[in-house]
This record gives sequence, C-alpha cells and structure tokens, in this order.
Amino acid sequence: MEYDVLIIGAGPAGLTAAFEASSAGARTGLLDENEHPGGQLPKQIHKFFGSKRHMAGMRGYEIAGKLASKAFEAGVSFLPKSRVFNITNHSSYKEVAYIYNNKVKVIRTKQLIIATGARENPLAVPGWTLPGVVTIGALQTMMNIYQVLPGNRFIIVGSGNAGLVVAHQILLAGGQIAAVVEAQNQPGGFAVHAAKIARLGAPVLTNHIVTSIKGSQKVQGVTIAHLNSQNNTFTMDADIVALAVGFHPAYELAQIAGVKSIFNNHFMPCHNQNMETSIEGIYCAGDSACVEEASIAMEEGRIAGAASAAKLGCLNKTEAHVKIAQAHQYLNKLRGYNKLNGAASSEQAAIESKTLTAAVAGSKALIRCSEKIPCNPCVSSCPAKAISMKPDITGLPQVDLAKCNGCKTCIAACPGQAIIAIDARDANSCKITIPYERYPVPKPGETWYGTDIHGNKICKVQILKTASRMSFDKTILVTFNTAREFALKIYDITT
Amino acid sequence: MADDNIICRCEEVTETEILQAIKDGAVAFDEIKRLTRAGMGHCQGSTCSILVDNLLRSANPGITLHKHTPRPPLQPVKLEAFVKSASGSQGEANE
Amino acid sequence: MNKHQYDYIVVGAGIIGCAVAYYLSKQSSKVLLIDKLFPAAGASGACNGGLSYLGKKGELLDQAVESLLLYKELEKELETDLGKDQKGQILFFSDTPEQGQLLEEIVNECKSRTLDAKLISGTKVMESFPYLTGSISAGAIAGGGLQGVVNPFKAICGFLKKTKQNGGMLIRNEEAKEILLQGGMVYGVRTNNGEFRAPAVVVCTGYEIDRLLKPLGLASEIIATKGTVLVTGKSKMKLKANLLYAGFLENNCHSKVNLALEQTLDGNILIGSSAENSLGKEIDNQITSQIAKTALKSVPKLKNEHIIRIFSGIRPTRKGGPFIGKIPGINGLAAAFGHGGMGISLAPYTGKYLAQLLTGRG
Repeated sequence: MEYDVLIIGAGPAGLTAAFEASSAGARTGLLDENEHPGGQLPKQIHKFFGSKRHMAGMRGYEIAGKLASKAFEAGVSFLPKSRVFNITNHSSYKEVAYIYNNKVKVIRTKQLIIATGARENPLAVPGWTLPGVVTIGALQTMMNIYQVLPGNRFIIVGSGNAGLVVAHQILLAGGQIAAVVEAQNQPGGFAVHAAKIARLGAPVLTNHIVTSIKGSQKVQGVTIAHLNSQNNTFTMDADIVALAVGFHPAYELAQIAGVKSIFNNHFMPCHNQNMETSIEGIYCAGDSACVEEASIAMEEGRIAGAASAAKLGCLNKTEAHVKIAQAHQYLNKLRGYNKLNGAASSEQAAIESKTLTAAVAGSKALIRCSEKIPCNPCVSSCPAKAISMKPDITGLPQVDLAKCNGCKTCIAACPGQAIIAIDARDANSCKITIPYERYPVPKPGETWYGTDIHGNKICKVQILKTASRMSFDKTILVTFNTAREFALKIYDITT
Repeated sequence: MADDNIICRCEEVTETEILQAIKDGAVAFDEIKRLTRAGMGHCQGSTCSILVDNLLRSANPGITLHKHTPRPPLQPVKLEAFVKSASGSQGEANE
Repeated sequence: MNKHQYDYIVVGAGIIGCAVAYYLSKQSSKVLLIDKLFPAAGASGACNGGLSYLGKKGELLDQAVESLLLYKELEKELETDLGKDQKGQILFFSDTPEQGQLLEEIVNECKSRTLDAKLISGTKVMESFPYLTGSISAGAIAGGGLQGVVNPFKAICGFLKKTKQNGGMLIRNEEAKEILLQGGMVYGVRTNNGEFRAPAVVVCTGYEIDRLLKPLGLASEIIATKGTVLVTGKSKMKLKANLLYAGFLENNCHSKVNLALEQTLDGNILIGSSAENSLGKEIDNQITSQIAKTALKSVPKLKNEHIIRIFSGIRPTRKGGPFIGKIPGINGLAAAFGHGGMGISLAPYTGKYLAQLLTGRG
C-alpha cells in the first residue's frame, strides 16, 4: 500500500483535498495528467470573485500557485504527467492504473478522491465540425497558455461566466467580438462580467440562437435567429466560433470504478454529505461531482480530504466533524445567492448622485455592483473600513461616504472592475479614476474618449495620471479629467 | 437540421443515422453505440454521448437516460505501454 | 384470470434470446421478448462475433456446423446486412509437440465430417500470417465460407426486425424477476413493472440465468468466465486470418491468457483474451498487461497500435456444453444457456432447434 489517500486531479478541489488529508497526517499522493498543478486555474488571468478564504481578488494562476505550495508544504507527493485510466476496487484498497512517460504504472491507496473536473458541452449545430469552431475552454488555453489568438473576429455562443470572461480576454488580446449569442433573455454569467464586455462595445445578443455555422473550408460566419420573432434570421461574419454552452462532470473514472450515477440535467456521481460516493472509500469533489465554481470546489475538496483522513483515523472524528460542518456552511452561502436580486437601477442612480455630491469634498469610491454574488474583496481591502455588506458576503457592498478617504485601494481589489473613484473638488470638471487592464496604456497628457455603458464614445477626457503598484496585481489605475456632466455617464475610456 | 450533420466525429456518424436508431426503438446511448458505432472511436463517446442523450430526450420527453459506459483507457494508449507495466512498479516513484 | 397475452415469453435479448424469438415468431407464434436493459447489452455486445467450428468436438461441432450453415442463408432470410466477413479464416498456432497433438485431434474431428480443415507446418503458419514471429511448430487452418465473423449487433437487429414483422414484440428496460408457476405449470413472468402472461417461457439470460432458475430449485451449472479484450483504433495492418494460440486447447491449461487476434471490417484489431474467474466487469490491470505481453511476443508489429478500448464480457460457460431445451419437471419452461464463447456461432441453431422442439413444427 503506497498511499493512505490518493487524489486524482490537481485543480482547486484536488489541491485542497490533498492539503487537508496530508496535514492530518495521511500519506497523500496527488496525480495529474498535466505537468503543473492547478487544473484550469493557470489559464485564468482574471481576478477571482469570492472571499479571502477562497483567495478572492487574486488571479486564477496565482491561486493555483498558492494552493499548490500549501499542499506541497503539507507533504503531499505530486505525481505530474500521470493520466489515470483505470480504477479497481478491492476489499482493503483501491488500485489505480495510470500512464506516465508512455508506461503503465499501478499504485494502491486506501482512500481515493476523484477530482477530475469538467468537460465542455458540445453543440451540434450544422457546421460545428468546421475548422474554426472551438470550445471556449480550448480557446482560453490557446490564448492564455500558448499565447495564440486563433482568429480576428469571434462569435461566442453562450454567455455564462466562461463565455463572458473569455470574451473579455479576447478583447484584451486584440480580437474583435462580433457577438455573444445568448438564448435566454439576459446574460447567464455575473452582471459585472457582462458589464465589462458591454462597455468595450461587445454586443450580447439575448433571445438569440446560432442556427448554423457557415464556411466552405473553415468558419466564415454564422446564421443567427431571434427566438421571439419569426423570419428574423440574419448572418454575421466571423472566423472563430467559440462554444460556451456549459460543462458537465468528467467522472468517467468513478464510473469505471463502479460508482453509481444520478441524472440531474447532467449525469453526475452519487455522493453523500462527506462527498463519499456509492463505493466506500471513493470520494468525489469539485466539478467532477457537480459543475459549480472554484470556491465551491475548494470547500468540497476540504470535505473529501477531511472525511477520508478521518476514516483512516488520521484526523479525530470531532475535528473532522467541525471542519466538514463549517465547509457546508460556506457551501450554503456560496450556493445561496440569488442572481436577480441586484439593486434596482433607481436605487443605484440615487447612490451615484449622492457620491458625486460627496465627492465635492474629495475623492470618493463609487461601486457599480448590481448583483448579490458571494464576493467581498472590496470590503476586506478597504483600510478605512468604509465598505460594508449586509447581511453577509452575498449582500451588495455599501460605501460609507463619510468614512471613505478616497484611497482607491478597492478599485484594484474588485475582481469585477466595478468600482471607480470620483473627485469633484473642481467646480467645472471631475477627476475620475478607473481600473484598466489592456493595451494601449494611456499616458498622462493624452486626450482619450470616455465611453458609456455600451462602449459608445461620449466625450473627450484628459489623462492625468496612471498608477500601478505591486498590490494592484497588474491592474492600472487611470485617472482622467472630464466635464462634470459626463462624470456619471463614463464607464470606460478608449483612444 | 441538415441530414449530414455529424454527431460522432470519430466515427463520422450522422444525426440521421442516430435518429433512425431512435426510431427503431433504441433507448440508451450504449444501444445506439452498438447500432451505429457512435462513440466507438478514439474519444470513446466523451463528446457525442451528450449529443446523443439530447437527441434521445427530444425524441422521447420523460425518458430515463442511462449513462454511457466508459471503458479504460479513456484516451488511446500504445499497446507497448501496457507491457512495460509491472506489478513490481508499485512504490516506484515517477522518474 | 389467466388470459394469456402471448404464446411465448422470451427473457433476455442477447443473440440467443433474439434468435429464439425469431424462430418462434416464424412458426406464427405470438412472441414477447423482454430485456432488463436493451438488446445486446450483455455478453453479445462484449464479444468478437467470431463464427467458428474449428476447435470443437463431437455434438458441439455438429451443432456449430449446422448453425454456420444457417448463417449462410440468414442474410437473405432476415433481409439484413450481417456485417459478415467471408474471407475469415481461423488459424491456430502452437509451439509445443503436445499442442501439435491436440491440433491434429481437432483437425481429424473436422475431416471426419468433410469440413475444410487441415494441419499445416510452422513455416506455412508464418506464410499465412506474416506478422507472426517465434518458434511455431505447427498450425491448423480452416477456410472461410462457413467460418468468419458476423457483426453480432447486426445479427440481433436482423432477428428483431423479422420478429416484429412476424407480430412479435420487444420491450426494453423490463427485468424479469420471477417465473410465475401454478401447479407445476408456467403461466407468465413477473417483472419490475408488472406481469406478462403466457403458457410458455424461454429463459435466455446468459450467465445471469441462476437468478431466475435457482428460486425454482434448479441448478444451471453455469460458470461465469470473464474474458478481457483490448481494441485498437483502425489499423493499417491487414490480418488475413483470425489467429488463436493453441494453448487454450490444453485441458490442464494454467495460463489465464491465450492470444486471440481478430480484425473487424472497420479495421479495429481485437486483442484477447483471458479466462478469468470473476463476475465483475472491472478491468484487471494484471490481465491487461499479460494480454499485451502475449500479443507482442507473437506479433511485435502490434506495438505501435493504439488501444482505444479495453472491455470485458462474461462467458456463460457450462461444463457439459450448452443447455438448449425444455426444463424437466416444469411444464412450459424452456431455456437456452451455457454457450460459453460459442454464443454467436450457435445462435441460429439454438433458435431453430428450440422453436422446433417447442412448437413441434418446422
């Protein structure tokens, strides 16, 4: 027997599970088919939502590094480039076969945690086999791991977080978004992600579907239909179509081991509160259990790691129980938010004009966060403790304008790039500071344009200063001057 | 839908062929796989099983789907790799 | 109360059940075929589809030949392309004098029935199968025509198509739980969903036969022997014959693994096989490795072929050969099981023989 606990998959779930098991004293192994740990995190270049516990505000690849070093420091042995292909269940151990360096290897473990992530959903519209049709995750790998932008003009099918985030990254990389096409009547992902691409002028076509992909040898365009009106079909040119139509659990290994499945929109492995499957000693965690997001994956990994260590006697039962109960509390919070519960636009308008009035005394933060998503880096970053959230992490942030000293720390901290600062001490003009993450970088003295919520140019602005600090983590704060009448209409800037 | 729209890319099985199998009474991906070869190729149904299940559901609303049966080694592996395996390799670290 | 809905209920839609249903329906009987999953979900869907007689003796050889003769007509009769590979030859090779002796015995057995089988020298074996290496002492070969490969799914489809045309019916997801008896007479089958009534029931549930027969106090004497097969992607290699290592003929054979190679019409090479005492369908890593070793020792050229799928199936083996007939002591109950690795070859014979026996016609 080589391992007490063996984990397959070194993403957020697997790394957290490995850390928990190993710090409890279990001999812990972590297998991954890739060379580096992190799962999908290394290609996530944006700052993550969530709370400090889940390293919110950090960029995905940094979270990967942090989780991995925590696990390795706890004594986890990492087996990279090892692709598991078979699991057999025996009375006192599980046997795991994997390929490493074109050789089959076999190891045994007492407890096994399957954290193999998700697979992307296909969409078989006519033309989907043409070169130039990619899945959103593959596109993200090409761009962010291999630095290849495979086309110029992109159509994104689906506006979940993956579609919106990658659309934004395409824009950062210099690509053009012809459209993000969404069948529902509103974007599927977080509103802040949708706002980020909207203010760069990328259209999200809600109530629309792609009915076919056109091209002779490769993608040349798509046919799009409006769902609520007949005969409203049109074509759009594009050279890349990225399918962002969701994910499903990749738990084939659990199935090979004999774990039972249930169907709930997708097939997924049956498991109990401890993430243990229908086979004793085999656990699942993260997207391979049910597709959600990284913070949830970490909590599930924590549960599986603690439960498996407790079963072996490495962790005492009470301690494990407390850990698992606490993780469940976080899971409930992370899952309990109501996406549509955002502030009404009239309330937001009132907040904005109040902020402008207060800004006469000096720089004040203005938060444009409209959804009660579980995320609070703004709160934890504020040195003046001027930002609060009620009743908990799923509330909307509120700025106490009297306490806000205009330090702008929260602007770079907000993963949604949804905070700006307004300074209205000058009677005629306003100084506005926004977060900025793309090229070209504005230089002080230049004249740029301010753009509205849809990315339309609305006025000229004078760039006053740019600031970048280590703690901003590559986000640049750009301060510009604009006529006061435009202060609340500007959402971004462009050349 | 175009008649020649491909559902299983590995074995080039079209939507028409899948729909015919469903019309003939097939109720599960594993059965359609046996009838049409969809899912018999290099990716072993990891893409088309979702699509076939969707077709099964739209043809028979309320159908109880059966999860497709994945088989090792999930992705192609050279035969000689299995020979190199040895029970003695247990405990041996990756070099 | 006992209004019969059907003349016959056939339990199990593997190739045996489908053949039985077809031949019964041909005798203008009203047939219901039920399966707990779907057709070919079990052993019929996890086999190589080989049609062979070479290697069999006595009654089993006669049955196999009769069955293979039926296959010749079935394509026309069922109006279905059975995916038959007519060129298929069966080639046995051996590397010990003892095995040579055994080969001679099986060839003589064929010759006495004027079947086209012959003993060949080791050199000749290598000529017939150029990929083969090693010290081959002798071989036995039996030509195409009767033998070869059939696509078991297509054969099943054909049987089902005609059964339906003859008024028979197939229900999927219908698991037989109990044979219903009254006064030593069968009157139907209870399933997970309800009851079906018929004066005669034929049980064709392969290695799972005991689940229905044991509660009736019957012993099937079935031994489940698991076999594991490695499947390559479509290969550029072209195998001229189905190759088998004669080791499996040895009675005191200790080796769990004996090489068997076969190529499908699509080009995939099936590399087998094992005989494991297990009921689980999990893939044993040791067996996989042994099969790979055995294959590469005899056919090194296979080393760069990619394995895309490893699967196992359970052979429903019975010591005295397959049981095909009425079950003594219970009126209206019949069964066909225990075909071992010969299920595909013996299916038409089994169906036809049983239908004749039960209907008294044909």
